[in-house]
Amino acid sequence: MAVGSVRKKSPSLVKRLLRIESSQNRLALTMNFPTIVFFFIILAYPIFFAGYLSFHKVSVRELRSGEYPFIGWDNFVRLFSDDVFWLSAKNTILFVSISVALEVLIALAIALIINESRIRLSKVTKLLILIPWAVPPVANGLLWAFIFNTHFGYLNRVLFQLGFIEEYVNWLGHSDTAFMAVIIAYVWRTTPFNILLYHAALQGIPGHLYEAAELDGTTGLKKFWYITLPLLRPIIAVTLILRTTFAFMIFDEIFAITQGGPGNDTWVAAWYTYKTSFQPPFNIGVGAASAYVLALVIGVIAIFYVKYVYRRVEY
Amino acid sequence: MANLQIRQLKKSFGPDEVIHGIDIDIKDQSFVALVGPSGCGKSTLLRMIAGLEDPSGGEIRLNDTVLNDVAPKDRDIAMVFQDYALYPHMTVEKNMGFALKMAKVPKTEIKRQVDAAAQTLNLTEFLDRFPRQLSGGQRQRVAMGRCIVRNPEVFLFDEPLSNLDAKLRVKMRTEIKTLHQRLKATSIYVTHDQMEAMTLADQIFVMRGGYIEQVGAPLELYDYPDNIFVAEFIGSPSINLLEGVLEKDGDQSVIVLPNGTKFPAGSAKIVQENHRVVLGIRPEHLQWTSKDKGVPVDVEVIEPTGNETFITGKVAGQTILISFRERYDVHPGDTIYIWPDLNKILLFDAETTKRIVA
Amino acid sequence: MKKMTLQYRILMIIANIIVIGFLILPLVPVILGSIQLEKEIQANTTALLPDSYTLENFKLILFGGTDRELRLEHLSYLPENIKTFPNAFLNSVIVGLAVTVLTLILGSLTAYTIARLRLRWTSVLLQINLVSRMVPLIVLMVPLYVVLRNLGLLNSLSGIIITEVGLLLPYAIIILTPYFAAFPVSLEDAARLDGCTRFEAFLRIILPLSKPALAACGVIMFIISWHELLIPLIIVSKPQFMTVPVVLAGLVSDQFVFFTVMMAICLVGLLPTLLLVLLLQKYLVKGLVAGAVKG
Repeated sequence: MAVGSVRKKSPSLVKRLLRIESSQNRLALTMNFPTIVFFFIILAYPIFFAGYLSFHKVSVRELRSGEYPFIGWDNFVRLFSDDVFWLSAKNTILFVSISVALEVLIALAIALIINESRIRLSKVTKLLILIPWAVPPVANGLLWAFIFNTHFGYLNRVLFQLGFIEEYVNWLGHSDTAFMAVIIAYVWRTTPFNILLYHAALQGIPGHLYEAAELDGTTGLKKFWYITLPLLRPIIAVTLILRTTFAFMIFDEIFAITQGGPGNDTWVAAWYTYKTSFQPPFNIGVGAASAYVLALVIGVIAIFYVKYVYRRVEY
Repeated sequence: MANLQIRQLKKSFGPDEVIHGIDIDIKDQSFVALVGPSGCGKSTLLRMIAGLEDPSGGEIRLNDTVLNDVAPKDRDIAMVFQDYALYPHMTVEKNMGFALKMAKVPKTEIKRQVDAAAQTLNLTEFLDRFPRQLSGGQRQRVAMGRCIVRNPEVFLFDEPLSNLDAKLRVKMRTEIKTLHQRLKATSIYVTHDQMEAMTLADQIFVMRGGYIEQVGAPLELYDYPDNIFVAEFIGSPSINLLEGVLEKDGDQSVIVLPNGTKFPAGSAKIVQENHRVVLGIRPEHLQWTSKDKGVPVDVEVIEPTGNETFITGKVAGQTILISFRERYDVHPGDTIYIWPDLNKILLFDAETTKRIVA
Repeated sequence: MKKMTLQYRILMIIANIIVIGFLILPLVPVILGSIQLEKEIQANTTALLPDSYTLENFKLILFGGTDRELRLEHLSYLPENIKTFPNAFLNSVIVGLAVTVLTLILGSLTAYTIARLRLRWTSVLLQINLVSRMVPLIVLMVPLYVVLRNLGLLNSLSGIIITEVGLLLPYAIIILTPYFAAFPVSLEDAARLDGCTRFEAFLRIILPLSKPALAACGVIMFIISWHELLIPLIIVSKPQFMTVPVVLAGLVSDQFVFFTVMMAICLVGLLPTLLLVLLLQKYLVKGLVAGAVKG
């Protein structure tokens, strides 16, 4: 076996390496090109542009003329001195906390119920799980608006027939109940998402863990507390992050049920931005500023979650 | 004609160099095996030959063409994968004809070639079945059929029999050898099973940690391993290794084991004082002998296989395995006496692990 | 596991019934409301079930309410938006299909590069996708409104389609990437030796084998697009370019529109996605679960 002469000069080796690398690179670039264009136009550029807008005066006149004068922190000043903004902020946080808590608890309960597959009825239940998710959010808002309607709504009818009330309640006319109405509508629509995830996680728990526990004498609730719940922690953490960030963006149900009312009592973050930017006075500058604040809050909370709450446990 | 030449081939994944400047020459029509333990780089080497992995340095040549920048599809190389890699959504016939279809060969010609290959491999009745309907052995044959149809310059095998059960493996081994004898195509076979390499290859490359430890014909490696690693790797059951110091005992050499027992070392020359060596002797090269002539072994385990009997024991505290053709009346706890075939003794330097050539 | 006691069994059956009620009951008023006439529902405000049923509301919505007699007899007022409903329905279908096709094509191309081509910047792409789901839509819509206005894409289906594609691509990529990554690399290796370039291996081997995932992803894309309100709401102000959710939203600000017609429109508006979900449940579940879990 003869060993041939070593044929290698540094430049050609480097060139060869570059060419090899770039063929994968070139393919990846070509395949990704449209996606990157979309990302840039729809995601990247708007985020920066929104930042730009928040420091400039932009309303109807400026849109028409095409000139946006720089006004520094003015928009933010106006934002933070607006009582309605702080009301929206408070409402949003309240809404998010209650909704996400309800979503998680209800979804957990339902997932546990349908996990008991020895009950044949659970097969039917499983088929129907996605129904609330299938309803368009705005239609969801309308149907709950109908249910909660004072004179003709079905909630009042049912309560009356059952003898719980004698006079029809004006659910949407009082702040607290209107707020709860929106929460109920939103939670109903979004719970299936969590149910699916929890159900998948529950299915992944090996049955012999429970059997071993039974041999050790653990029963009923203790099984849930010491085996099921800890194993569900990762997926619950995931849903907490996701659902919280989504809850911050609620819009459709507010639009359809309360329009922010009664008064300003159900104004939330996204609604504030929408009303400010796209309804009179069409102040896009302030709207952009408010949207930015919302995005920052979500970002901070997401980072907080990922660092301290979301701990991946591999089993 | 398919002569493959590899020169100073290197491969790094990030900062880790996994293959360190390898040179390989493969002659046309030869069946070459790349053996070694997991992680030695044999599969990576094969993938670089196929073009599925880019080398970090060095050159691969097929006949006179440098293959480094040639795409896998243009290298005229076919490969049988460990998991067969059959296209699940195509029938056996379409699987085997795929490459020809990509080469724009006319349909009638494709059918002719596929039918011929199917007949060679006894796959004709499976042509319209899907991979999921086939057994492991059948899938393996389809994988080979897919390669044969292409009539390539070089055949590559990446541990093709690893996923089959023991009996099937033996059967398929024979089929592969028969096929090679018929097709006479240059073949490179990667495996971690030294027995497969021994039975199939004309030439074996033993690899470890990205280096080639030794190259040679199977029996060459068996009889004259260059170092302890090769000696241990080739041959099943493994060679016996005894550590001691090489000394003169009369006109013969012996190695002195830690407790003073002397083990014959043939006619090896003593070149230095206190030479620590490792003596290698294969289980079948140890003979039964009488108390006054032999080295004592404390018997621990007896394993009769019908064909031969393996006796595991300790000599001066070191484990030794003896393989006897005859059946002796031995029990655990007995002491038996053995004498090595002096011509088959291998001596290795304890520090360099290289074989000491007399 | 231990055998179930009768108590336990009864308890679980009741629990299931409650859950089923939770899932279905809210939709009952939609049906009940849509099959009644305005006058009927106003007449008896305590009854749970209507005395008489009618399909007039649906006729009204679907045929554009051009029958004057019909209107005068049964309704006190007919909102403008009702007339555009059939057109809006069509718009929703067009937008939905376009968005689905585009996100599937672009999404699978990108998902493949992330799954297979081991380059540093492709994994960055995946992280961008995960992060972009946390960006509130409203933050993007404000500047996008200005951008689209300057590009003349307001009040057009293209504007809606482009924006929705940009927003739904991350979802598609997150769903498809793990699916592509799960294929054994040897399949593509075999194809590359058989005469395919990397891209051809993707087209001829990976894609055909991915049909279930692509279908599930496609349906999810369609459903999310169908549901989308904010984007068309902001982009479109002319009735002929509105989609179904925009028409529905239009009913809200109109104080005179009545629940019967509103519920009828809601029902027709939610039927397509409801049917898709009920029929394709099995496929959807896998896609949704995959898309939700990070990384």
